[in-house]
Amino acid sequence: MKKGSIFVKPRELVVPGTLLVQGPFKNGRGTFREGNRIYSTVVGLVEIRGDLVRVIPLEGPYMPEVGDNVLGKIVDVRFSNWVVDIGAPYEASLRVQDATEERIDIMKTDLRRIFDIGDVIYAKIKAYNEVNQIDLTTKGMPFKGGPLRGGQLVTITPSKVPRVIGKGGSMINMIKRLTNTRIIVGQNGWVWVSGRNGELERLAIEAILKVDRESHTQGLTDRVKEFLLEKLRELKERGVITELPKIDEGKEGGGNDGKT
Amino acid sequence: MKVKRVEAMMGRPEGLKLIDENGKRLDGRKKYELRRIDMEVGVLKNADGSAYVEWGKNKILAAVYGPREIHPKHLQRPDMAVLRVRYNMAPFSVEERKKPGPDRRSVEISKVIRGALEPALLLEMFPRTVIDVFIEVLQADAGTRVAGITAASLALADAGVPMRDLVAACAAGKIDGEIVLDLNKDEDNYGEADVPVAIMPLKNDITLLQMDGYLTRDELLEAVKLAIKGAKAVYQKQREALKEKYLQIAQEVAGNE
Repeated sequence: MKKGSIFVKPRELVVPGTLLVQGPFKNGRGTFREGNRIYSTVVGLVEIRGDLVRVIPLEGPYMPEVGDNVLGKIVDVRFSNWVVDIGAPYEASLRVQDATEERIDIMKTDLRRIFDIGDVIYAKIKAYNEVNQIDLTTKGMPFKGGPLRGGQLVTITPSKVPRVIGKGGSMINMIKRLTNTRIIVGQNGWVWVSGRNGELERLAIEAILKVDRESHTQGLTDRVKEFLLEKLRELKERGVITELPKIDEGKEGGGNDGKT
Repeated sequence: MKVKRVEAMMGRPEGLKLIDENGKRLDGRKKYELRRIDMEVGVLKNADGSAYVEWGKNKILAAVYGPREIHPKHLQRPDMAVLRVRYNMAPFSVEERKKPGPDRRSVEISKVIRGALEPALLLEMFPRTVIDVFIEVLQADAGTRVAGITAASLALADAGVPMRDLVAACAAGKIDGEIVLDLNKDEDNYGEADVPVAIMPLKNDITLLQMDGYLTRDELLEAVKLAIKGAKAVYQKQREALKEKYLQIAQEVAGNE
């Protein structure tokens, strides 16, 4: 019979060096083991699932994982590849053959015509190896991977991305619907927001930052909804928008670009 | 400042008593009392992590950037992250204007603070990168290195850099023949010794131990024990300060409902 003791409540806020559990547990992310005790290594919320103990960080860098869809910014154009900043501790690289289906003669083509410095792209992490090289691909991505024109880029803590998306995209779809903006959430915590109306675009960003800030609290979806509706009523009074968007709980079409 | 001790000892005002008949010190503290300490994390918008500490009259700001790519490239280590610490005193932080820029003293303090923080960090999680820690002393009143370590450790935790434990620090010293906790500037200048100590309280590891002045073996042991006690009190405050940032938001949210 296995025995162990748990010293924390579920979703309790802990700081580095907090004793979490003792006994036959597995230590997941955000924890370390010392003998048969498991301690926290970050500021975050405790999650115990079965015998797996982990701490979901409230701050921290983005660590790339193969298959993640991320937003990135081109920082350099080289002979046959682009250097991309994806907010990770390491630079990512996008090779020509991973960018387009068609064959490109790099001797004759100026790569800056495809992606230039400063362009925002939407890419998938193709490989992440032992020497910390990150390879991206834009093949098969929505919008042909970019460049994303117009709109704004906001940054949130990567560990809060699931919260911004919500269960089955509930949070992000609500924000999209109410503000009538296009939003792409990258797993790296970069969010691209673009709306026809500047005021609505700003409102969407405010809502996203609100989720980021209050991610550790309860009843967030309802609170963000209230917040958005209140602001929308204000905008209507000022004549920025003519009517409030319908708040039906029906199925959302169009899918979610940033969810996967 | 330490280098001035010899002159300062000589310049000690006639009849100055660091501990009065009632056992009170110059600022009214008892022998084993810390100065007032206030901490706040997340004070800088553009840093990955930051902290502000007011420790008596010390005012210290710490900022953390990274893990990020290291420049120049030859400094990178293939197996772990590099920790860079810069301790700097603002020109206006002391009574006599300090010449800006690093000097012998601040280079040394940067080095010992790096040594004090390094054991707490899981640097092997981020090979080929650098974690930069900047400690700015805005106002100095003795004990800036321990306050700096305290602030830097908070800033690292705020940045989400994985750590085995927080590093807490405190100093003890000898004034008028007695071992006391947490010297202030006058006590440091006119006292006999100063012993800064940094610890990782979880396993009682000492990550910094220095001594400036003269102590017997027994006095040193007493001072170290006292400083560790002080550091443990600082540790509790650090934990509260880190949680406070999020509890405040939670409270604000609950209050609006």
